[in-house]
Amino acid sequence: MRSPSVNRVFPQPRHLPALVYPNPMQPTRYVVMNSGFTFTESEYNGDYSMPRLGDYAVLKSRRMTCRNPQLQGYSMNRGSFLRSPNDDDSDLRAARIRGSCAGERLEIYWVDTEGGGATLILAPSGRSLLIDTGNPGPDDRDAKRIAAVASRQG
Amino acid sequence: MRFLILSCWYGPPAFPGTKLRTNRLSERSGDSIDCMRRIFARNPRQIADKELTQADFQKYNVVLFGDPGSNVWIARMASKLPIRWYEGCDHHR
Repeated sequence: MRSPSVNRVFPQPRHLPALVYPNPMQPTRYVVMNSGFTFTESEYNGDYSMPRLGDYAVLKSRRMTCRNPQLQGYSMNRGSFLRSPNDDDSDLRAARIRGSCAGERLEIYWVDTEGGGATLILAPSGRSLLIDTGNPGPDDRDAKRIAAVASRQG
Repeated sequence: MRFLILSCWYGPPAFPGTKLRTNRLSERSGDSIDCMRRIFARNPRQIADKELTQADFQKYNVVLFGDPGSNVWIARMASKLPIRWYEGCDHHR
């Protein structure tokens, strides 16, 4: 785990930092600060659900702005290493990693789907690979999420 | 994976409002702990920061609530975490 690249100042008293980090007192263990489960019981489906905050976050006190009951009353000012495209909670369903080498770009998108996540890899050659597609449902929620991310990339 | 949760207070918070805000998060963490009991059949320990010993770090991942003024372990780790607290603001780097 590497240190976040963010370098920002957040004024008190409205902001509260939350993070998970290797414990400086015992690096083989973790320390979590000001956070807990960020998924609800109804979202639990047999696998460990996707955490909503990632490795670190700055929570900003606001009234009932977040639809996630575990985080209600807070909005997320910053995301994680896998930073979401927007700070809106609804957009945390897709995270993106970009890397580049010699002008060529590899993009990896991780889409939150039921039972885990779908991974869309866009290679510099133009080829793409989709790993896992979630589960079928009455409203095709997972398929629509993946299609939305894929269509945004052309 | 074993967690040890520190939810009590060692001293006054370093910044106004921190105690209220972390208490709200801590309450939600309490909800999460109930959720953990029901789903995972696990019973995480909750203790005060002053009850924690260095040996506990060998055995547990720890969940800390508060800031350097209100939680002695956050104060001790603060210089080694990727975050700095300054008077009137949190500085994240």
